[in-house]
Amino acid sequence: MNSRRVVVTGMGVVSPVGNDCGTFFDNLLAGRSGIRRLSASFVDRLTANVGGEVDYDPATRFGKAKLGLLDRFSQFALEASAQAIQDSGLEFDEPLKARTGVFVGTGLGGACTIESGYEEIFLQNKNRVAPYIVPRAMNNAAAGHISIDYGLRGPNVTYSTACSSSAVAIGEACRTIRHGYADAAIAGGAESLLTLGTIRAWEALRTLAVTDTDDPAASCRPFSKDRTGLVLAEGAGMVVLESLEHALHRGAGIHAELIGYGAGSDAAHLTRPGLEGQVEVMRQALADAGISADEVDYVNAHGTATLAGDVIETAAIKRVFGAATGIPVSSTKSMHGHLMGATGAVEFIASVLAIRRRAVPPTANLRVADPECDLDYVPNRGRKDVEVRTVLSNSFAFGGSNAVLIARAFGD
Amino acid sequence: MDTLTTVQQLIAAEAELKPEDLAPGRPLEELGVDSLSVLMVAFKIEDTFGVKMPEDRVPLRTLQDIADLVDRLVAEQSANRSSTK
Repeated sequence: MNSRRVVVTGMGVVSPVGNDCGTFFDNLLAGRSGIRRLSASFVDRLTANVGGEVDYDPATRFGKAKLGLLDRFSQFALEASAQAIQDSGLEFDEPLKARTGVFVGTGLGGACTIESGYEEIFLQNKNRVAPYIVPRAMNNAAAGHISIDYGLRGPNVTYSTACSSSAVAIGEACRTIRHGYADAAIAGGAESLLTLGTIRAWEALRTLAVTDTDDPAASCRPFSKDRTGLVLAEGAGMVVLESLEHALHRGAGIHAELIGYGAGSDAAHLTRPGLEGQVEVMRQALADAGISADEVDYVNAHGTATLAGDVIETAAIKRVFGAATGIPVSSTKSMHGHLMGATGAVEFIASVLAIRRRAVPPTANLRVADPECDLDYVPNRGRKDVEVRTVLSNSFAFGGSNAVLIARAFGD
Repeated sequence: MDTLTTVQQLIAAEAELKPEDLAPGRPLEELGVDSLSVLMVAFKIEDTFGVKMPEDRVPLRTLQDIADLVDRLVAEQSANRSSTK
């Protein structure tokens, strides 16, 4: 099959630990958590009252008329895209606009818009709602806005595979460029779902972390024996992908090469993670990259901090990595929380930054060893000045939709 | 303030234009006011004038069209209200 190499030339992030890549990675490396008691007025009605909120003023980028059309998840997606495009130095001339695609992952799309609309209808008994609800709330709104703002006429696709949505978006964008359907892509994910209705629904699943009353920022404790569940968060991560040929031709700065993508399904249970499915998709990504497990220097785990999830992922990593199991594996969700549809992209960016900065972010709040979680999770302290050439980022989703991305330092 | 001026200001605020740039007889589309903005303005007209905009599609191409409709609705709906008292 005709296949081209794909590189990452730009990255942008909006997250609970920072709204630019530098701040984002500095905070991760320092083990600083962005999780805190929610600022929302309904917080007292919740048991799980912490979250990863983004501190972002949309008025800094959008005028009033434009803002009226944008749900918060689209605001995040546009902000992260603008950062990524600026970082890449890409200038879109007409031929490139026709050859650039937009690939966005999101779980719930315009969840805030839907919920406030329902509130007006059901709670305030209004007989009409504002006309912007549909165009704001639809899952592909963010991708549509990105393509309109930059005139990008290539494939415009939105993936909704729960927690792996944006890893899938990046992987599928990679394949699209590899196989010649586009030369460049804006790819990643966005999510904003910290509403009363959504949090309540997650509470009912009993997967949310119990708030640490002494230190709310430490409520998410992946791989720690005293972990109690995941912490919901919001934000976006977007990258610019290009064919290597295109990037070299324009003399672009290259962050890393995206060398492997695996996608598969557990085909077992809708919400319980599946060991076999995770093993298979990691192996698939390694085979796609044409490397063996012992070439990987760092694994950014899915690591949600649920009781079952962390044990199963640990077992899957051990199965795949065998003798190479000593490599560092960390869950940055301990600090930025679980960004749902955006989380794969944000963690992929953390992984690429690990290559760029020659540093491994820690798993924060790892207080108590769990005999069933016995890998090197980089507990509580990041590592600087280490060789990080190849990184693997796991995303495992409800629905069984798993995706794994592998990036490698360019020029090796 | 007359209806035309009020509607002009509502549209200008929605589309981020200057009220004086909204010539009453020119199609709003040409002035950079798209159909979504018109829908949003219709929403605000209902609040401002205390009227209910009709569900059927009345052509609202120009500022004048909208002002005329609002005048008609205000007259009809206030007449209805007084007759049912």
